[in-house]
Amino acid sequence: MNCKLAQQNMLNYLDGTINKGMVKAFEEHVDSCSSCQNELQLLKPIYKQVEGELGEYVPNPYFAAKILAKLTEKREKPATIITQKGYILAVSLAAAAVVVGLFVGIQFVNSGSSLAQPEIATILANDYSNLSDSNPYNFEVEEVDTSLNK
Amino acid sequence: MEDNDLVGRVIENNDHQAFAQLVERYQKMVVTTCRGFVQSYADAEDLAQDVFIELFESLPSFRNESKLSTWIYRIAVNKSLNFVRRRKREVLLGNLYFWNKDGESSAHAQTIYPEGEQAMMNSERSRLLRMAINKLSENQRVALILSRYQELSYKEIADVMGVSVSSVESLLFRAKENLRKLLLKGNNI
Repeated sequence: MNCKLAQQNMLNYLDGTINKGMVKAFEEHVDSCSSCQNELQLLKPIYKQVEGELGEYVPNPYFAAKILAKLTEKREKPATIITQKGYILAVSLAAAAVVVGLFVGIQFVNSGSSLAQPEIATILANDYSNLSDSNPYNFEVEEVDTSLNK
Repeated sequence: MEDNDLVGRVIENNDHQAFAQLVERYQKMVVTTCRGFVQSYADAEDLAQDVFIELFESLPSFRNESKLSTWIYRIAVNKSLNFVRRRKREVLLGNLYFWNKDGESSAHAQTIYPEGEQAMMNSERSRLLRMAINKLSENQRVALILSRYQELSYKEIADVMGVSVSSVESLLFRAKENLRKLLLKGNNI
């Protein structure tokens, strides 16, 4: 076995998945090659840490209970969602009412502002001048002889 | 009671006790799978809770076309990958924040070791291993974790990942070759 093949099989050797027919050749190569031996010694404790991590696992006895509690909490949440929906609906209706109010108001103001249109203003002015006939303060001014003042 | 019977009771009667039995049956499998992706058992357990909640919600669409364990593995792998992606983004943003604040990065990311030299060494090895594993492509990482942490066969890994057995062989070959290089690089060789 050469170094390249030994390196390709190094992790397989460490986790026991190396082809059984290659184990002897691999070990013989590592025994005679200081570079591969060095690599194997460096890799072994880190790669084997997987077993260490798995060995550290202590099952939590309350795990299932925690999940059931979460599921129950989730099942009760839709009520909150409905409340939120109701709140959103109320706010939306209020906003819609404001918009409708503004729209109606603008329409009303627009119809009232027809005073600004010249033809309507003329009609109104004429009406006003007709009314002046019945003005009690409307009287003929007598002609005054201004020559007497001279 | 068989998995299928428990699944039936959960779907038909919303039986939480039946579901609790499924949780207890698969708890170790899920937590240790998640542990392959994340740095601590605390994170792995949080992830595992999400896995079982998603399992509960998705059980009605489980059609017995695959084994329940395969279905659970798929959920666990997806949840774990999403968690790691999210964590990477957070670390990136955190580093940017600390660069801006202190002019140096990762000051907050120092590892706190449990007391004792052996525990410290194990923590350091675990950290190096996780860093290297997380540098693998997602497919290589999933194949390696299912193989190393769960000792699944190529066929079982292929079923979980939805790829062919020969693809799994190729993924594992490349995963181990890359991991070897990354671990040696991490040791400054």
